[in-house]
Amino acid sequence: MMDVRLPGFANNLESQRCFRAILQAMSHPGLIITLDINLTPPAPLSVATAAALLTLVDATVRVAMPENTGAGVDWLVFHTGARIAAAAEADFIVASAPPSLANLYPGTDEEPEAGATLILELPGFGCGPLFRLTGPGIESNIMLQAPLDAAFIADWRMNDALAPRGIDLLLCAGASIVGLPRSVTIEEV
Amino acid sequence: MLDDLSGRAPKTIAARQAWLGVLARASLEEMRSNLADAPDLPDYTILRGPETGMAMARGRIGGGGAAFNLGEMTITRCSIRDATGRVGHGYAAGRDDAKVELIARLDAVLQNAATFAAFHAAIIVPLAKTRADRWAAIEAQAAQTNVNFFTLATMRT
Repeated sequence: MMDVRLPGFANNLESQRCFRAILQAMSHPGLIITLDINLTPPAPLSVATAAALLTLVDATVRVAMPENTGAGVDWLVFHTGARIAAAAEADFIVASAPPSLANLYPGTDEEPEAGATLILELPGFGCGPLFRLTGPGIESNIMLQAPLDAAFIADWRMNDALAPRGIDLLLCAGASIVGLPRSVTIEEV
Repeated sequence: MLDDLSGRAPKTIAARQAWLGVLARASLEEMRSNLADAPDLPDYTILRGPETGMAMARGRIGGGGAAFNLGEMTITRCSIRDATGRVGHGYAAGRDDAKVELIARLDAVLQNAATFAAFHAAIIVPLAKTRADRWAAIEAQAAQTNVNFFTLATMRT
């Protein structure tokens, strides 16, 4: 039986504010945006991840949460009506250890927008290696310090070969998000 | 009709369906007037809603007995968690936010064995009786116009 003990958004304005913030993050790749939100998510979800899920997910969306069981999944299904799926079929994948991007759904050439979005939970920004980001939405380049490992960065290059298909990435830490659409090139400095 | 649940802590789904059914059919005014005889409701946190949406009502209205989409109806729902940690849900036809919020709060206290008896006696029993009386009056009125076709029945056999 479903056991839900925590509220979601208090009102529609919170959802609209989060949507605006995610839109900003995705159109300004690499920019750290802090969500102005008062939310108590079920462990181990971070505030940013929980807010992004409440904002983006509804009953027409498949979500994979391989690292979450019980409370987190029940909470998401209760508040959004999301359908839980395997990572390969999901529209949104929530993870703290990045799965192999080749296993996620990249969309089709006719419908590249159907490609999956990976919501990656990080311990924080401003630690770990320094990355240079280039691509559409970035005038010259932008630097981002984040605890991403080299294997994941190598994996990310797969997006170049897949274009226009690919996987979009939303980094979440605490109440902050960074949007990295599939068109962004990530290089370690 | 309601089972006799006085003094017992209901554990069954049927018992919960019964009280939620009684509450959903009652009006907010009826519930509020009965609340005067009940203990105070505990504090609560809203988990979801109150929110209004549509649900497809289905029924067997054709001669063949097949399920048929009757039409969409407006429903409002609300879920709360009260101070004892119990989660209550309220669903009702219409768009009365205050009513479903109160149903959800009552659902939570009715699940609590310690408070069940007091709230059941003060609210559910009178509401069920009001409804039963209303139905009995309608049935009695309809019964007055009942015609028994003795002759036709006799001729056929």
